[in-house]
Order: sequence, then structure tokens, then C-alpha cells
Amino acid sequence: MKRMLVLTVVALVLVLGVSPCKAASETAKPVEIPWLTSLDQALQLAKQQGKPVLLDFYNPK
Amino acid sequence: MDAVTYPNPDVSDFLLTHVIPVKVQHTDQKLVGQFRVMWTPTLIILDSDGSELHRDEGYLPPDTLLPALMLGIGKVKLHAGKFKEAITHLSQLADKYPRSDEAPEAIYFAGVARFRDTNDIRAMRDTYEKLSSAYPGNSWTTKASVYQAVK
Repeated sequence: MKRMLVLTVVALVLVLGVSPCKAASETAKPVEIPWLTSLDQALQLAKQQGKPVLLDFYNPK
Repeated sequence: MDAVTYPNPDVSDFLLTHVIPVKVQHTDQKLVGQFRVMWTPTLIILDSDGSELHRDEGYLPPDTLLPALMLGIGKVKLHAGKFKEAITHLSQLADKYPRSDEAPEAIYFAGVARFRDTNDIRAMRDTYEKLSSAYPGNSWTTKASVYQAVK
């Protein structure tokens, strides 16, 4: 019974590329944030896309 | 922010979907002067005309940044006269982050958006009732209390 279960899981991984570990790590992967450095460019894009602007003043040190 | 908050998948996904993100170094005297920034990090939400509608100063972890951004976006929609969109954003904030500092303010301004959308002042009375039930003693409950006698 146990052997059947193992064989089924192996078959699923091979045929469908299913991997629970891979799926978990992919969902946790952050999206790269497309930070701009020009406020003028950001305001232009904000008008085009109908979105607000997030202005982040930061100290890199 | 760069070490913990922005790499958070919920945060990066939210930023990508809902805002145009801009980073400005504290040495940029023109923008620091224009927005009177005196501390970092300072996060400001602007509408597409460049008008400031929300500001937070100091470090924000992911679960604190997200409701702050949602409140800012709700205010942008409200000021743009997009009342239904404002109600949606602000209600989502209150539902998803009921323990956040922003939740009572979001309920208050969702009420303002309902009033502006319908011109029915009972929206503010209902807002007071919601706030007094969920957030007794909160400053936004006090602000809404003036509408409690509306019939």
C-alpha cells in the first residue's frame, strides 16, 4: 500500500512536474518593485495608469 | 524598509498593483524642501497632480505599511470624487486590518465617501454607530459623534 502511494507521488512529479516544495517557494518569492527616481516621470505614469504615487524618502546608510 | 518590508511578497505585490513607487534620497534638497521632509523614512501618497494626501514617518513593518497605503489610496479616490472606489478601498482596509491604527479612520472616511456619493447624511450617523460599537473612545469615533442624533 505504502509502495503504491510512493509510486503514485513519483509518477505525479514526473508526469505533471508537481512539486509541493517548489510551489511553496515560488508563492513566497517577492515581486521586484519597479522603483522610479524621477517624480516627474512618476506623475506622468500616475496619470496614464490612474494610480497614486508612493514617494519614499530614504537614507541609504 | 528595504531589508524587511519591501521584500515581503504581499507588500511588493501591492506596490506593483496599486501605486507608482518612487524612491528619493534624503540628500535631494529640492524634493526634501518641497515636501518639508525632516526624517527618514518618510512615505507620502500623492495624487497624479502631485498633491499630498497621506504621510507616514518612521519605519513600518509589512502589516503596518499595507493599511497605511490602503488609507492613502482611499483618500486619493475620495478627493478625486471616485466615491465608490474610495468606499471599496477603505472598507477593505477596515475588514482586513481591523486592529490597525488606520481602521477607524478608514471607516470614518468610508462614511464620508458614502455621504458624498448619496448626499444622505444618515451615512455619517451609521458611521458613528459602527465606530462607537467597534472603537469606543477612539478619536475618529469622537469626530463622528456629532452625527449620532441624525434622523
